[in-house]
Amino acid sequence: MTVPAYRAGTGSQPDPFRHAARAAVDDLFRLHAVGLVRFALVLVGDQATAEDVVQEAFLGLYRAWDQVRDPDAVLGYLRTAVVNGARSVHRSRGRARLLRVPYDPPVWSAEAAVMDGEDRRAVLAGIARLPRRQREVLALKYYLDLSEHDVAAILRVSRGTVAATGARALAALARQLREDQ
Amino acid sequence: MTDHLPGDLEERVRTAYQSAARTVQTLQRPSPMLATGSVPRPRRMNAFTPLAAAMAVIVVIGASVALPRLLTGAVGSSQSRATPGTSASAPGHYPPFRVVVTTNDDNRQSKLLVESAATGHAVSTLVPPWQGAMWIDVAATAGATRFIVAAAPESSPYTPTRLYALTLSARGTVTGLTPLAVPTLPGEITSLAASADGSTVAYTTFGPGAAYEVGVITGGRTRQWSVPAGVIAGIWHVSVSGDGAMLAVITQSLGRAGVENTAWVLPTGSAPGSLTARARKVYDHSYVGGAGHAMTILDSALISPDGRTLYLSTTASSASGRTVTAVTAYSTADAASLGTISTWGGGYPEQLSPVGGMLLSWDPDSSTAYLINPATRTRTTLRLRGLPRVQYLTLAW
Repeated sequence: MTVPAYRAGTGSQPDPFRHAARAAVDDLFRLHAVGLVRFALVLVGDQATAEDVVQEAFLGLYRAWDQVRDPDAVLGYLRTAVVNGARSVHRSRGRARLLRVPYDPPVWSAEAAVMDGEDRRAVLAGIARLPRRQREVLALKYYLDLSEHDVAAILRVSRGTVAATGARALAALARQLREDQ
Repeated sequence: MTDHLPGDLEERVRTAYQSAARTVQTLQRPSPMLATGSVPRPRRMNAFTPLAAAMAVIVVIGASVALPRLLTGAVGSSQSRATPGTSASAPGHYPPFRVVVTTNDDNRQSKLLVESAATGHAVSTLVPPWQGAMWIDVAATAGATRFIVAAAPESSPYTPTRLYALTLSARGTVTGLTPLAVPTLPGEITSLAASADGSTVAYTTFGPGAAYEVGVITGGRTRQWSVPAGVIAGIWHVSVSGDGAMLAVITQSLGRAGVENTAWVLPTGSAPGSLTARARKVYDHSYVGGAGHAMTILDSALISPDGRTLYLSTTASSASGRTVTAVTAYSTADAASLGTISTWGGGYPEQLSPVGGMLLSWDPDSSTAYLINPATRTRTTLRLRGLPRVQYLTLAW
């Protein structure tokens, strides 16, 4: 079967399919981008990086738009993409930190000074010291208020793992907050 | 000292998240769809600029020790018929070293470590092979001192991936790091596996663009299969038979019935093209999220050394929240179930890695791991030192 040139992305004619995809993804961006950037921010700490992660998530959606079968599943896809994007940022940031490369401080740091409340800063700073999966479970569960089933689906782990990881995260966070006092 | 009751702490976490989220009032960047012309690209994450040259340095932390076996005594297992396509490896004969890629809390360090399997202590540490790189993945061969390792740029877009053969001395010190004949992959690697002699390397990659690929490198040539169907959320857990003739892989996509997890097997001699067209579906399961729903998640897959059996780790959660993880064998010839190898409750561990002819089930969030003999269907509990304080991103043994 010959793939139409506009689907293959090689034609010089107008690309009606890509035009429609661009419009649809643009609509979704207007609807969900701020919420997703806020979600990404609680994972990565600063708005610029959070926006990078969300931009990449929407670009991934655009590239795969011709394969979208269930528009209702798109938000779940975007949340999964944000979690995966934040992991890449953390891997990268780990190396950068090791090699003393500067990056924007997290909003809960004293340097950033954009967030009110010492207790809130302390809680988020404590969360930032938790292992990756614990941070992800806390953000999905307590920021997005997702059920353990939904968290499990996004992180691709079992519901039992979500429950156990969440409990360990809260216990570790409580320990840290006690020690910090 | 103030105690933090769970309910109180949960509320403080919620409040803190909301406070952080409120710092985002308007976006600094418009929709990426507003760009004209070809598919727009986001700006690079400018925090991670190129760095001064850093030489790869091999640091020998300590001498390896002789191998009195640490692993003794099977627990919590039942004897039953042998699984076809397996060889019964006697407990007590495991490779002496495992290679792990780690990161610590807060991601302040990422390293490739050679650990003594007997003591759990690090024998060697290997820094990334070029300026601005990070280790991504590692795969074991049947040779106890030969591994395949992958490194990638530490900054977006995290590609290309470069592959090397890592060789160890009998004491676990690094003796060589040699680029493979096809050393560079264009995508971001998501899993890696090697045949017994290391002559076939299998991989899964994400990107560039929307591409999800599984491929093999044999004799200096690459052969790839793509995943075209559905909104693919990922491709993971590639494994390859001992002779390199068969591979297995898991895909996750979003379909009409919810999240769809599928395990595939594919002869590596197949013509390149669509994975779904060329591969055999061994297991397929869809689930929806939401409280009160039972669901089963496909955690991990591992093909046997002879390529005839696919071991799948699945975790089933009942509507009431009870969780059972099971390792089940399937025939790669006809996808028939060959029976359950081992089961346990609690959700941990879930990731399958090959250790000789055995299955290692481990989890980066738990120090408890299981070594499962598929021939005898016995399970040995062991502790992976340092977990979960030091997180293993990946492990090869």
